[in-house]
Amino acid sequence: MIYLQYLLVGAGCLFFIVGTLGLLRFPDTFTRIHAITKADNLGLGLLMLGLLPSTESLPQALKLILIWLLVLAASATASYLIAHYVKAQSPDALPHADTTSEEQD
Amino acid sequence: MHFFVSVLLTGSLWWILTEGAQAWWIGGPAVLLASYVATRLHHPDSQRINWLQVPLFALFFLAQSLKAGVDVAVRTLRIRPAINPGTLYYRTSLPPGTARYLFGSIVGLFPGTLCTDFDHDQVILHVLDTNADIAMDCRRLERRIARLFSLPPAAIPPTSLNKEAQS
Repeated sequence: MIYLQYLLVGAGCLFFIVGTLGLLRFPDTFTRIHAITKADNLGLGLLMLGLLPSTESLPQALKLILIWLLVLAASATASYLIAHYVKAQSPDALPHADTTSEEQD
Repeated sequence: MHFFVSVLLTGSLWWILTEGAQAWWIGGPAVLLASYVATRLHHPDSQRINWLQVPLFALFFLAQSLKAGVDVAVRTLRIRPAINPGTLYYRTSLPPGTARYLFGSIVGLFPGTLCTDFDHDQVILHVLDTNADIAMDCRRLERRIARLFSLPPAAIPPTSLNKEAQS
């Protein structure tokens, strides 16, 4: 069991690192939001799963799950708010791809 | 009725936070106050969640967020970040209100999509890769949310209405 926990926590940390790497490597605000929200959501989920077997009581376990759910709600809302703000500040910020997905193939 | 449900929920929240019901002299008033505010802010006409559908929706959400995290990680770790950003004007059939806002929030945690704005019946999404069939994923999420709120299985608009990558 402890090795499974190591694996989950390790994988969780890896996703956090990759999310931060995406923040550095991606070119603009929108793509950076993609990287950080999705990778961190999964990273925190794995971290929580890995720590769950180590909890000592039911409320403690529920608290861990609650933290994850609250971060999920916060990052979903914050990602929309930041993206919305950037779009409102400069309407040209969204990429203008004039082609459809079929034409690009 | 709404007040009592709220007391029950915030009460169990306090139970979780204090790891087993402690310091009720703080928790009690806080629970009552929070429930009062929640009842005042509650719109009686807002759409209601069908709680029986929640586990199924949670499972769908977990699978999709796993996919989203792996997808964005793989794109990040390429030597040249494998992205092809674009904009998708997605026409939603979800009615305005809780269901539509839930769609806008959750879509941000799903693979390759990010909600930036609502415009009448259109949701303006930023997509990470215009080559992926995002409209189809969105329709699936929309159907799941409609089921979650027990909305009538709305006529899902045909693909042609979803102008993909429109300028």
